[in-house]
Amino acid sequence: MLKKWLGLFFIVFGVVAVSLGSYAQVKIHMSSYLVQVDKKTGKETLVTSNTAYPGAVIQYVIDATNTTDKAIQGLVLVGPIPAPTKLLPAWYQAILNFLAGKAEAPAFCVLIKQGAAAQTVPMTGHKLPEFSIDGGKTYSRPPVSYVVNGKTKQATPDMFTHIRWTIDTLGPGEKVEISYRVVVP
Amino acid sequence: MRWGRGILLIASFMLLIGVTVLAAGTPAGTQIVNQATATYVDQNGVSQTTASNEVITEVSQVCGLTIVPNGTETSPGQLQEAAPGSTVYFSYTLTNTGNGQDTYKLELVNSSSDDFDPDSGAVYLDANGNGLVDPGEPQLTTGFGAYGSASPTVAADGQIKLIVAYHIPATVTDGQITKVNLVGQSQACTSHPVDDDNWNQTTVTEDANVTATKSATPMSVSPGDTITYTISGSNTGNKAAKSVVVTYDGSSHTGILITDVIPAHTSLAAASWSGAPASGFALFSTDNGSTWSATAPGDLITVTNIAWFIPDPHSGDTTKEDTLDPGQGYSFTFQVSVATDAPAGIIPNTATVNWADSTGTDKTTDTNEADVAVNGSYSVFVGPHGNPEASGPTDQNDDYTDAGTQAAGSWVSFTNTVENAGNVADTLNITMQSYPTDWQVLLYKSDGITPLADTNGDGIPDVGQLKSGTTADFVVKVFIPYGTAADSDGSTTVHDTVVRVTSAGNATKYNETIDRVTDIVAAGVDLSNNPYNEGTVTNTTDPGTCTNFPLLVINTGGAPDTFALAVSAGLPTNWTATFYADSNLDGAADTATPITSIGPLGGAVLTSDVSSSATLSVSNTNYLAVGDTVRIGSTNYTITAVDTGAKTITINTTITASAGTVVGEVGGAIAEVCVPSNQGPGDTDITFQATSKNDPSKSDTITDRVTVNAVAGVSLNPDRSGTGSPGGTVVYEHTLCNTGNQDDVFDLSYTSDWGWTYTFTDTSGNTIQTVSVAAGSCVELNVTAFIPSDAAVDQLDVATITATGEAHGATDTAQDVTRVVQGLLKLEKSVSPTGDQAPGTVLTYTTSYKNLGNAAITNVVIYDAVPAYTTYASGSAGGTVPAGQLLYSYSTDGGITWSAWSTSSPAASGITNLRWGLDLNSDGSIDGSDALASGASGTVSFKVRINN
Repeated sequence: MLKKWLGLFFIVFGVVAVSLGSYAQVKIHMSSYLVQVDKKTGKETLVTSNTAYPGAVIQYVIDATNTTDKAIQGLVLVGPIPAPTKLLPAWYQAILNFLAGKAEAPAFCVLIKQGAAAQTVPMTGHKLPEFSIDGGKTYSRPPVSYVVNGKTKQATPDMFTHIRWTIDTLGPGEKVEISYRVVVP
Repeated sequence: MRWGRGILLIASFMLLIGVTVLAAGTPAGTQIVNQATATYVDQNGVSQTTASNEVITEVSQVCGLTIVPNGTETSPGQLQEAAPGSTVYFSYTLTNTGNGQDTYKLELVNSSSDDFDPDSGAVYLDANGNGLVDPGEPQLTTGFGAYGSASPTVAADGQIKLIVAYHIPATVTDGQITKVNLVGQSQACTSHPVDDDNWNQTTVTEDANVTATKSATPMSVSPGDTITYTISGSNTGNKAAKSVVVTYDGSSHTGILITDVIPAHTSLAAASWSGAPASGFALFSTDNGSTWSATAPGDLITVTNIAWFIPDPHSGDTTKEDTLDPGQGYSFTFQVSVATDAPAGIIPNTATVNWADSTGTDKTTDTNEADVAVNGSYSVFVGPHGNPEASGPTDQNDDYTDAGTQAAGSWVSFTNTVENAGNVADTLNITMQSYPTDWQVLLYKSDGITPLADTNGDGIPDVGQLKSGTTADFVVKVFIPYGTAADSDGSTTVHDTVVRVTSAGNATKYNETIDRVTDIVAAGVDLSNNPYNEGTVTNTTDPGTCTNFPLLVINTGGAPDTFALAVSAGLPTNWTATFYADSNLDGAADTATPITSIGPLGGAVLTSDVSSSATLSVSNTNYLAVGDTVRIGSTNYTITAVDTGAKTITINTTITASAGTVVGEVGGAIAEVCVPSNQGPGDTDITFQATSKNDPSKSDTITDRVTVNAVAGVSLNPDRSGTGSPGGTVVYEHTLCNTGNQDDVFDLSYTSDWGWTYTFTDTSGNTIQTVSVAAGSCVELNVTAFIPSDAAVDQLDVATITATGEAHGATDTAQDVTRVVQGLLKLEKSVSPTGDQAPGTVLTYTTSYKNLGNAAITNVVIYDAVPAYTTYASGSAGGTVPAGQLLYSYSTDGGITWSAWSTSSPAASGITNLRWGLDLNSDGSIDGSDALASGASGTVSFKVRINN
């Protein structure tokens, strides 16, 4: 009876966060901030807000904590770009600029490790996030291209549907934090 | 009647502004719902997925408006001519460019640098969009220089039509101008944005002036409907309007021409045109107005423009003559059919009247823009992946995706595709209409891991908003409960999950598809011997030993499963059965660690027909690894490669379609059965059982046999030695054990080197010749040696005692060695006080000694031990000697090692044993010169305290 009731619950709300009979060994949490820029100084501040105007930039922060006493391998964090928002073009462009050797590694492109081995790790090379343009089925490293009618084209930031980060090892009790930005059309 | 129609039109006005395409930013109130997911490999090597909280951001309202046509004070956007004393009307369109509902206030501003001021002015809502102020259409502003009342609510991207009307004073003269600006102000936001560049200009004329307005009915249509356009007007001037030169059918004619464009997504309706005055007739163009013909083409779809031609009195010449007298009106009506595939939105249309004033100068008058809204039509489809419009046996609601055979205890993933087949963007809600009892159904986005969310706030998960004509994928995952019964009847019994997609724009529009599991493999196990053998294997073993039965546990369930191992029948009391892992199936236990279950063992369903291939598509690759042995059908194979992404495994041999439907990992176990040592010979059948943990009602057994050997055995121990005087006896204790697994009676016999006599007695002192001992039991027996009285001193008799089983013949011997000695030292030990004593009591043990022999004896050492539960009283050892002195020595380790001889009583701690040496010659050592004379005696003593 309980099982049936649960099934009904999932169908009505479409929410799933259960792997049968096991507890989550990695606790994942998401928060969002509005990125506000002082027009005079150019200084950014992150403001907690549950509302946004069209044109606003939202920074999503995902943190994941290993709640076990053993290292977790191959942790993959997936951040969707929720409808109707688009990935902030400047965010993607900064990565492209870095890859083209025109700029330093973007300051936002870091993995913040907390806990015993607290550190801020620049996410370069194979640690750069990967991007999906097909609803999360496949991911590519930037610069992302796709093939249409036999021709290869560069993907534009508005095409991205998901971003993912792969963290090789997350030690016991360690917490990682990554972030990305979207714009409200 | 006119009033009633006006109210109806206002009521339908909200419909018009409701049909909008998002263009002005994300709508206010939209919820941006985001949820991160993490996948990782846990400590057990199992892939796990977990989702974060949902983060919701609501979009706030921004306000904005545009009013067109635009125009500056120096370059007004609309120009009209009008006679003194007349009223002029200018049509405007106000669009809500914000992202939420808004209302607007309007103001008329008259230029301070023109020739005259209108003597009255107003702004009306042109609810029916016909360019005319109709009865019932509300007046929003009166006069100049002040905002009036708020407009009706306008949805984001919606628009309203406005008419600016003002009256030209009768006193003005030809050529004078006035300029009026329409200013609009948003009300919903505190910033109150305005649009204030909408100047128009009226020039006073005393010549002819042809007005033109256009209406469209109905104002909102569905694809396939018909629109009736009516263009009407009159000559409001003081002089007749003249004709212009028009070429049709290849020759020039003169007349007033009212032209109109057939709007996109419409086509001219047959015989739908008419007009006034009655002398007029229609002209048609199929090339966007370049050429005209008075004859309609056969295919009206080709008509791009239509016109009404009002000929002047001599139309065949090129002389412009009076055609429309002052005050005379005209009208032109035609109908168009809206295409069935017309997108939702506005169909705009403007007509133009071509005429000439009294001087013959060509003039044109444009009508207002008559807008018709094409309503959204909603239509949705859902079907198998890539085929949303699929039809099933009956209709488009019973198309299905067949996952074929699947296993109980597994998730089955279906990708379905939805299509927005309507003409307007729509949000497609996904619901479950039905699914098998007790199954679980979960909805995911197309990535298969992000839960399907509700993006439009109606509480129902959806695939998000889809543009007209586009499709989207989503994933339905169903869990077949572990205990689901097997079904192998093909399509006779099917297990359907019915998925429905419903239009959020029109909940009566829905479509269904079926995600089907045709057959089900129930959890199952095959327990056999290793090598594979379902028969009974017999192991022969001795009692008191263990024997191993290598077993194979084969997962036949098609999903990973763990199996409990047990003995279900036949294990006798005192026997034990223990299971060990044998992961490499070599018949030997991997480790000495017992197991009670084996697994998880991989299991999968073959998801595509096997056609002579070694690479097989499987429903999952969990727990299937290179090197694993798997069973398909009735044959074992070895996995040589696993591709977890493509969900394939490669086995060592090519197989064909008939090989089987399930791949099951073969696990190895060792059942170690231990037989107690007293187990009698014979056969014992033991049934081992493996039980599915996925579905504990599913188990399998294998019965194997232990044959216990008949074993005869006896032990007679220990060998003994002793001394005795001639004519005396010596008693030796022995233990006889039947070490076989059969009861027996043992004959007792002996041989003696010197022909002495030996007798056997039981512990009660009865003389015996045989002794009956049960299998595994022992008995005590005594052997008494009788030393002949004439035996020589130091004679050594070795007696070999033999016990022989009468029935089974087991035999063993022990040796008793007796030395004949000359003397005989008699020891008598006493304790004081006697009887039961309380802890703490000090006991004195006294041993008296006396040489009863007929000669002196030497090397006399008397041993004693501190009894259990007592403690030696330090320095209490003492005694007497007939001559010389006593020497003392002690042991603290039970008599294994001894301290050196000393003349002082031992006072060390932890003393366990004591000995006294009779140093009869006082030389400090105990040796052959210390002679205890025949009949000499003495005592030795020590004290102990009973432990608390």
